[in-house]
Amino acid sequence: MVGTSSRLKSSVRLAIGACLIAAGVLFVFDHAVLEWVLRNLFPATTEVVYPRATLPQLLGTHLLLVGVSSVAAAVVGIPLGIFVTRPVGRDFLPLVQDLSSLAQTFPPVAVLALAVPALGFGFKPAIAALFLYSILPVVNNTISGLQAVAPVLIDSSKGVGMTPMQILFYTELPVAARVIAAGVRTSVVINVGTATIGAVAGAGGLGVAIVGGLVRDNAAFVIEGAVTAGLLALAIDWILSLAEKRFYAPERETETRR
Amino acid sequence: MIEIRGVSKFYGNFRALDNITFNVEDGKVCVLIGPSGCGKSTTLRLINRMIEPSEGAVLVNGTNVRSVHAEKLRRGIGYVIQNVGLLPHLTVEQNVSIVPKLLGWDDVRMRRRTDELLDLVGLEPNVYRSKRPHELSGGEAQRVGVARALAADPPILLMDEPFGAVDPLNRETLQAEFTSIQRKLRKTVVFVTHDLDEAIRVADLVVLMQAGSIVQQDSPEKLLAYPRNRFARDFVGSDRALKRLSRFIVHDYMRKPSTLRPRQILTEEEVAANMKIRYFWVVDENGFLRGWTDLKDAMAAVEVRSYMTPIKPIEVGVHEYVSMRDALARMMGQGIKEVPVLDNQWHLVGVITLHDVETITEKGDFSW
Repeated sequence: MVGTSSRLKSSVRLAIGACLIAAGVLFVFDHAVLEWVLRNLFPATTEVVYPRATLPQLLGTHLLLVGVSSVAAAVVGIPLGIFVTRPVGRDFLPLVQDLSSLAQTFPPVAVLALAVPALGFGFKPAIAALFLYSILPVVNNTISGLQAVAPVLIDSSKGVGMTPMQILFYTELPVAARVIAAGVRTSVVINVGTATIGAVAGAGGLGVAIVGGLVRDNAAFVIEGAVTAGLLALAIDWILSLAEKRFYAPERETETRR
Repeated sequence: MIEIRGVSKFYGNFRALDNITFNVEDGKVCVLIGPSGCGKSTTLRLINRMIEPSEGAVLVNGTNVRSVHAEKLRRGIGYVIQNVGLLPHLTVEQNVSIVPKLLGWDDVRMRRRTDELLDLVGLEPNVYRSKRPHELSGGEAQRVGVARALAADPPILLMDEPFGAVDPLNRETLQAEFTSIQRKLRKTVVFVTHDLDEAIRVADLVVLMQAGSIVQQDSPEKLLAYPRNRFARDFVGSDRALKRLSRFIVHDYMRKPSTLRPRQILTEEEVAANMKIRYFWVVDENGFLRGWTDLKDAMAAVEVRSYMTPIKPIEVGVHEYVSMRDALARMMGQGIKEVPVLDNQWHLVGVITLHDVETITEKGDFSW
């Protein structure tokens, strides 16, 4: 009984999700739909769709910004988290934790302002700012995921004759995978929102429409960029949380009952 | 043979082990016992190099374990721990195959070995193979832990309070199964426990420890009969005669049961002729115990099942590899003088009577 009702609920959820995605796709990729929606929202405004670039173009650049910075955060953050939980790297644990929280305390706009003189205008400073801003959840979740692996599992893995490397790959990482993946997801979702400030440094992305709208006092442009960024964040969060479910979850028994 | 030679272990100024020396012969079970913190687990972990000695040496078959690569050594020694330590993201089959996989066995051989081992520990392979650890009860998980330790057929088995986290009834069954498996496989076993009854029943050699030193190492019989000092005497307790009963396995003393079939119909003569047998156990065609009847309840010309007292075999019966002490406890608990003895599949294979227990306690070698 529990099984069928939860399956029913999840299929309803799936249907609602599919409808939302279809609506979002039409909004972003069908110019006529976009214009119709914005026209109805802002009847008094003459120009409702940002003219300098199409929405799919802005979205593409935005995705590139988010993709590059998030991959960099994962590629650096996960090994860093692994390193500081090994016997050799344990001394660096407090340092890495402090640095990554410091990186997130810095406002990305400030990082951008500091990075532009060093890296020039455009893509690079935006990537640097996003990378620094999003590395904390990855590092933190990697550390806490690995630290939460029960000592008895490590003891028994060692006892059956696994090398430290095998313990890491056969025991620790699979058991911590879900927590680490949740960290990556958080960092990607944060990046989708934060990447809008990339426009300030000339990096492009959905922020271009928002900034353009603010400059020209055109709320329709702002909405065009902001709503798309919001939809993108929701969609990515949803897709990544589905992917996460593939990993082992310590509380799987309770999960199926929800 | 495992030789522990003059091993001491220091943690800073704290002396965790003080000049420990003992040998375990091939095929024997050595039990390390003592109060918590006495160093018994530390001693066990010396053998597979989970802990390195500060002084002294550990030899396995004449070779100092320090000269063997730690991972290689451990793959050749089965290791069972109290909290099982099954990997939660793997299936039962994958857990059992860990060591064979590390040793590079092919899939067919691993699959065959897994099935064999699940059978051995009393878990139906088709039911349990693809389960995950969270779907297992404590007793089942512990059985999988034993199967995993036996996977690569290591000659040595280290068991650190293997049945410590299981409820008493399940522990009795697990101990019985361990006894029957050990009789079959004859591994060299080092077994840590704080439960004296468990030690008495499974051990060939008991090593009693206190505060990092060995107080006494003897056979269970000797330890019970001649505790060496005050500590050993207190540890052994006053009910030594009762504890001694743990040494005797029901399987070795059980006798043939008098049985009837549920649909059997007795004649007047048969009822009369059988008056001197007290109990009849009622067993169906498949060998399962269904009930019992006292002859004074027996009636001629009707089916036995109409007047028998139905019973749950699990509540009344004992496993064939439990100790006589467990059998006696069952008699006391159920208020009966004869307990049915069951095999792994719950078939009735024999009975043990109060008289059998008395015979053992009256035997010459039992007195001291």
